[in-house]
Amino acid sequence: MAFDVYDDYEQGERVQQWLRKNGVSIAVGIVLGLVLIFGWQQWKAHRANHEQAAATEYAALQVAVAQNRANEIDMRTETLLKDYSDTAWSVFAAGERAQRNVMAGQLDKAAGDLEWARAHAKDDTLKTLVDLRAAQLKYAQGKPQEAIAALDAMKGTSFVALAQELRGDALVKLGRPDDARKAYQAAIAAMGDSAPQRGVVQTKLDDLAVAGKQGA
Amino acid sequence: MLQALRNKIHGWPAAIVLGVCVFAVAFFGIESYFVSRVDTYVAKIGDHEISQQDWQQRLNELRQQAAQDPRSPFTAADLEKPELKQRVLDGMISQALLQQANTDLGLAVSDASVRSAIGSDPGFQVNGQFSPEAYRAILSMQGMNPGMYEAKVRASLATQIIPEAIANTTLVSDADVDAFFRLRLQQRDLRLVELPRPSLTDASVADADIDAFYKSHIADYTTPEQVSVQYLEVKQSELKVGEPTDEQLHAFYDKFKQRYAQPEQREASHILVNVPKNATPDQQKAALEKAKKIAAEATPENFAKLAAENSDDLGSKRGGGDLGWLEKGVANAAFDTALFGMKKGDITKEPVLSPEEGYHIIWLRDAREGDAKPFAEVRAQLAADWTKNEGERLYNERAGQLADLADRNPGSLEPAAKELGLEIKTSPLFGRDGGPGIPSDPKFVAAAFADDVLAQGNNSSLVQVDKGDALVMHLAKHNAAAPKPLAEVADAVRQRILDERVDALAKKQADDLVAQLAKGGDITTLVKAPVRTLAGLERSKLAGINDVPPAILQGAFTLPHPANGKAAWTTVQTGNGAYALVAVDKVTDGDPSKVEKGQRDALRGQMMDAMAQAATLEYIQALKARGEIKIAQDRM
Repeated sequence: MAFDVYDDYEQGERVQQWLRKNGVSIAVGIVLGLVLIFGWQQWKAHRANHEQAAATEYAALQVAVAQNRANEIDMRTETLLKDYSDTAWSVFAAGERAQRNVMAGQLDKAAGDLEWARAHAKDDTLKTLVDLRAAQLKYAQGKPQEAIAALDAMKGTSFVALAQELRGDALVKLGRPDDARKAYQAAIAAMGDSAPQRGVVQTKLDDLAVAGKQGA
Repeated sequence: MLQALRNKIHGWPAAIVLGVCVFAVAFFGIESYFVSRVDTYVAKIGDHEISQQDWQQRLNELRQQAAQDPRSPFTAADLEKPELKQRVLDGMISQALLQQANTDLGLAVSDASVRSAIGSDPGFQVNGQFSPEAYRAILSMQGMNPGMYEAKVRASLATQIIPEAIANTTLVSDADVDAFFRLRLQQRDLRLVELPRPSLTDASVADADIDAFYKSHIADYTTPEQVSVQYLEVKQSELKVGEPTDEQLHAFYDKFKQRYAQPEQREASHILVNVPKNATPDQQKAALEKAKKIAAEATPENFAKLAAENSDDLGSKRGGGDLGWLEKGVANAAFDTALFGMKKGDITKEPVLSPEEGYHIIWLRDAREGDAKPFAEVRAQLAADWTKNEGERLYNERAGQLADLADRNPGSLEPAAKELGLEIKTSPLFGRDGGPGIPSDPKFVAAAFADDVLAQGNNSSLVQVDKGDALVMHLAKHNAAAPKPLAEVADAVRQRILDERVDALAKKQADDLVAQLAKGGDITTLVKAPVRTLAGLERSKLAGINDVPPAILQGAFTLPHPANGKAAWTTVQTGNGAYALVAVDKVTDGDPSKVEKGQRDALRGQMMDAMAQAATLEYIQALKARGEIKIAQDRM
């Protein structure tokens, strides 16, 4: 049914009829599109603001730490953990609180901080780093067996050298020098030539020397 | 027409035509995705490219740094080495990776951090306070505006976010510190015997052995490749310039007159009546009237006061309009014409209009005539300058001729030597690492071993060995690397074979002793040499002990602990084929509880730094493994 069989009036009528039938959906479609576009931009601006605010809060926390103002440190850490828990800054803040707790000898509290950080870290590498820290804490708590279990559960292939060094430390504690030696050797193999921990790990390895294998 | 088309096109022809059209439109231009575009990056990290420009800029920064800082660990020349270049590039890649990781993690540098970084930079401080004027002045000197500089600071802070966060979350527990002190303060009690070097009962070496050793170590008995070259040298210091004639000096004087003359100068003050850039006729008129009024009032006595009250030139206003001594061409053309047309002490009656600024009222306070120093006064200076100039000219001419003649007769230096009256000199033999005399110059050596001289036997191109010292060389003699004849080195070979036999014997003797000791033998009966004891050897205090071979000290802490309370003897090579027997009798771990708190805290700090650095390196490694990194070696 070709359109040109109608005269002008009829054509107009048909167009209007079509518009009446579909006008609402077209309008809704346009509005929906606009809402999507503006909404997306709003959302992006909101995220940028949120991230900037978190960065500012974190910078203020660093200043407080540098000046050793205990109350402010606690307050700002709480704020970061509560209001900015969706940013990586909060993971850092929790990790820093864990560090302060370890320095103060409160290892159980530090474990809680790391658990929080683990739950809120979204990035895989960051998560692995938190896992490594958790394993270090287990070792510090005098639980070498659990430290090894935590290392086994660590995902990914990052932080190999540090993980192997810690494994070696834990194995020494468990009285398994042969396995520890292998772990230290793996740690050194995973390091670059100028790695800062190379000398330390080599010393630990040297101390495990057995006859016929000295200076390994 | 479109209607007609629409009516007529139906069915499968329509589908085909439409299909062709859709195909053409949809895929037009798609080939540009398949044809490779020209890449210019030095390295590409994900989507981020390090351009050649970035790369050169970074190298230039480092070159400047090396040139300015005498303690810099590398020199500008080192930066040409591939391994250092690679390290520089690795650093740039790490920074790019850290910035990408920031984006992925949603980490941004806060405005507050940027502000405080700029505010605390001592470069922008005056009397210990941030000075906005100094900040702007320094930036404009470097051709930057505050926005650009802030972006630069932000970028450099951005690469520190993750490393700092890692450092701030590093855990070093008391257990870690204790473990470290146990090792570092560990003490060991040793017994050691230095075995005397054995002597051989049979010092004869069969000729066949010498021959075999010589053949298997032929590289040790080979003279290196050496060359000797003939060369023609032009030295500026040896060229005779001669005394200049007066005529030559006059010509030189005329040519470089401004060097020996003082230009004409005028000392002036002015009052400026500003006319804005796009002034209306009314504004212009008002300015002119104001200027005229001032000009009418101005006398030498009240000029300074008038200037202070009326001048729009902020620079000179306070100084009573003083502009100091001016030469021609310093101020704008209209001002110049007026100034140099005035008489001393005059004040312009009519204001002078300079289109850029407005109306000037000028007071010429003093004038110095151009002081062209007379020829006679500067003759000595002229002669010295002429000689230097002429020397350079002659040298360049001679060096040019030498290069040209050597190039035209590539097979020999003779024609060039004859033409220029130069003596052909011959260098001693030297290898690729140079030699005494002229072959000590690396440029000389490089030219001698270059393909055109060594392989093709041509004259070299001009080699500039020093300022005012150039030469051209030709191969005189080439000794390829050649093995020395056996007869010449037989004695040396024999001695080496004997030494090696003694070494082997010494090792066997030491190993046998260790085996016997392990079976329960007694050291004092087995070995005649005295047994020494070293008690309380500490890992960190080995440096002060001089009477024990260093190899034993180094090995002391890599030997096994005594097993089940029984020390095991081990052989340690003490250098020069000598051996010692060493046993660790006792290992006492350090006692962390005896370490002072200050020392403990300091060590914990060091451990945290090292751990943080290690973790950061591994973090970057993880980022590298995750992203795709391409490096274009050829563009480095």
